[in-house]
Amino acid sequence: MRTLVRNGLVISLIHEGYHSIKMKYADLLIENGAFADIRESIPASAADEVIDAAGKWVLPGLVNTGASLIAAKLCGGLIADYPRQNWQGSMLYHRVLPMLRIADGLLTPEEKRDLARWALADALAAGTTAVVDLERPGFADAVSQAAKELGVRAYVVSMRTACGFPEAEQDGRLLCPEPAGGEFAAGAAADGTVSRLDGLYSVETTSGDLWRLAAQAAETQPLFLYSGYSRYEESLSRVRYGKSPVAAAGDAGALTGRTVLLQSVFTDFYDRERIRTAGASVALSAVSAMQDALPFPAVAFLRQDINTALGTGYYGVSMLEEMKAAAFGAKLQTGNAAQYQASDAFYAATIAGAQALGEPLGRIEPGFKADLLIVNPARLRPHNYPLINFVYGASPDEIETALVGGRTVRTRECAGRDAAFAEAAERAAARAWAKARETVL
Amino acid sequence: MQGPLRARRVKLGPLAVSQVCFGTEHINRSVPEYGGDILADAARLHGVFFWDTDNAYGSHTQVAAGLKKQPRDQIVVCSKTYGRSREEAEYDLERTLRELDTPYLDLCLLHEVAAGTFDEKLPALEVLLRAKAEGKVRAVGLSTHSAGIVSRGADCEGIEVVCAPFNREGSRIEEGTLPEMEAALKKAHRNGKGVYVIKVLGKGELTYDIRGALEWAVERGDFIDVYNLGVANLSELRQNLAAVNDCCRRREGGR
Repeated sequence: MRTLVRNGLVISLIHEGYHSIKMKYADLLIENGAFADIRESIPASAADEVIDAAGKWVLPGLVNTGASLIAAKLCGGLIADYPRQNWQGSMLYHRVLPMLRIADGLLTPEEKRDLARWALADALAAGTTAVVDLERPGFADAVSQAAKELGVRAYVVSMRTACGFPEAEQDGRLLCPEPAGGEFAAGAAADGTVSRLDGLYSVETTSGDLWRLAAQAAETQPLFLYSGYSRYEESLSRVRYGKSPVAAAGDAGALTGRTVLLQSVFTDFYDRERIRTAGASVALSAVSAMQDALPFPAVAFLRQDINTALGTGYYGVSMLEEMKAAAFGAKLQTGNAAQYQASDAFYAATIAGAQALGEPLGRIEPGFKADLLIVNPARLRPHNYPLINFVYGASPDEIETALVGGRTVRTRECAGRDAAFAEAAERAAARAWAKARETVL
Repeated sequence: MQGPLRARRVKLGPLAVSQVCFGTEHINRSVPEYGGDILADAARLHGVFFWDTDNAYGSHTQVAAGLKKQPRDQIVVCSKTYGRSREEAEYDLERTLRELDTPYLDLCLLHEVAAGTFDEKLPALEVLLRAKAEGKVRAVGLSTHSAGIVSRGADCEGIEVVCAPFNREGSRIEEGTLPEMEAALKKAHRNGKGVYVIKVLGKGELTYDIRGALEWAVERGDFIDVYNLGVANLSELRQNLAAVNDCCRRREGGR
């Protein structure tokens, strides 16, 4: 199957010496799921399918390097605006994980799939074509199935915890610990555009055995690991291990070139040097950082030459909002409006995510996987600086078409389908909320 | 009454150019046609008809659009190649000509020649010299952040222009000290090479005192022909151009 996307303004980032924006009016020929040719004019006869993008912008699909799709849908309204001082600085133990535990035990596989489809459809509508979804293992099948149905490229990460820690067992309301099993290092399982991986929560629920399994896994596949995400975790790590969470992970051998540290907002210079020298990546969520009133140190990571991607965390699924929040958050953090420009947010949401995954995604270049967005810029006038307009102004309304591996996975005509997904999922969510009202809420 | 703000015309090796060069790295954010308008206006309104680009800057499409808006022979375009081998340099040159939609480049530089790698670039230099003989390139040079490479270029017959960072804090010089870079640029100038300086504002580090930084460089105009200033719009260009012209006038008046 060969697809031709014609007459659009192609906006991508190139790397020749360093990263730059490049815009050109060009046709894209897609073959076997990848960009095969990019030229000013490619005849329609070269393709089986032709998409006319005249007057549109053509951008690489966005890579969400740290979503919690189910939590984002289930916990909406539960976690924002709450004071954090009574919750050890994080809503994770007191709202997010308990809610997920309830839903995991209560909902049928079909209901879980409905929730996953709802979240993925929203993510896709907001430009995400590849998502790293960090899930309680009981939701991994549902997310994988939904991703296959929608054609979204998904890396479904089952987050593992160890038994025996008070944070994992307190009052039976917090984590429902999964057994630390030997299955961790089984390796990435891929099925079309869906891959299955394992990840770790941070030091407070991670045993030495799990560290070792994770370190083995990180030799061959990306390892997703929360580290440095809360002050509570930081202090616990100092008490338990006598070092920072990043140092603890590093000393356990879990910090490698395949490691992606999640939401590491509490790191100092030496932690970051450790990350840099290991060649590890970081995935931050600005929306989460701002909701939790935490720092957003993206510029500090970039200054230390660390690959720094973006993910949406558990407050939402929109990478459009995440890019905008990242630019705002970094400017506020540095007090400098010229820092972390639109192109930096776009880079983080495309190339940096792809690098963290070790996949040829995020760029419109021959040989890269053909995940892309066709954007109608009518509402974003004037069009002189498209990337700035896109990052700061675009909503799902602007994204007309999304392709994954050259296959059209979303058009505006999908709005009705997405509404049906939402209706079914809301019934499932209502069941979980009703149960939660009796217990944790 | 003050006259229009226009760049001076100077010689850069064999080329007649504007003393201020439009560094196009920052216009890659604009759509090609708008970036082209900015460049064309720079030439038309302010006499800045020397434009510096490279594929790595992402600004080829804007420069190509600008070239469509002005007579080709009234614009001087510089682009570059990171190539070391013959094949890499040939590929880059052909792509650049195609992307800029022009039959020739006015100046083509070996890009960012790192300390100690001059000899590795000789196959690429051969390609550029052959392209010059064929009329695809009008002049050949090199860009580098190394004082030692500037000095090597000064001694190399085929190199007509050297391009290097030069600012009062010595920032962005990766090999050699500021005095060593100054000595190498002077040597190049003595040897008849065009001397073309970049990073006069330290890639933004010296923007707290633009006039002071430019004045420092213009005071060394005995051995500098062209100042490449990277700007994103005409207002930044005007600010920098006015400062360079003022400094030049003061320098000449003080003689």
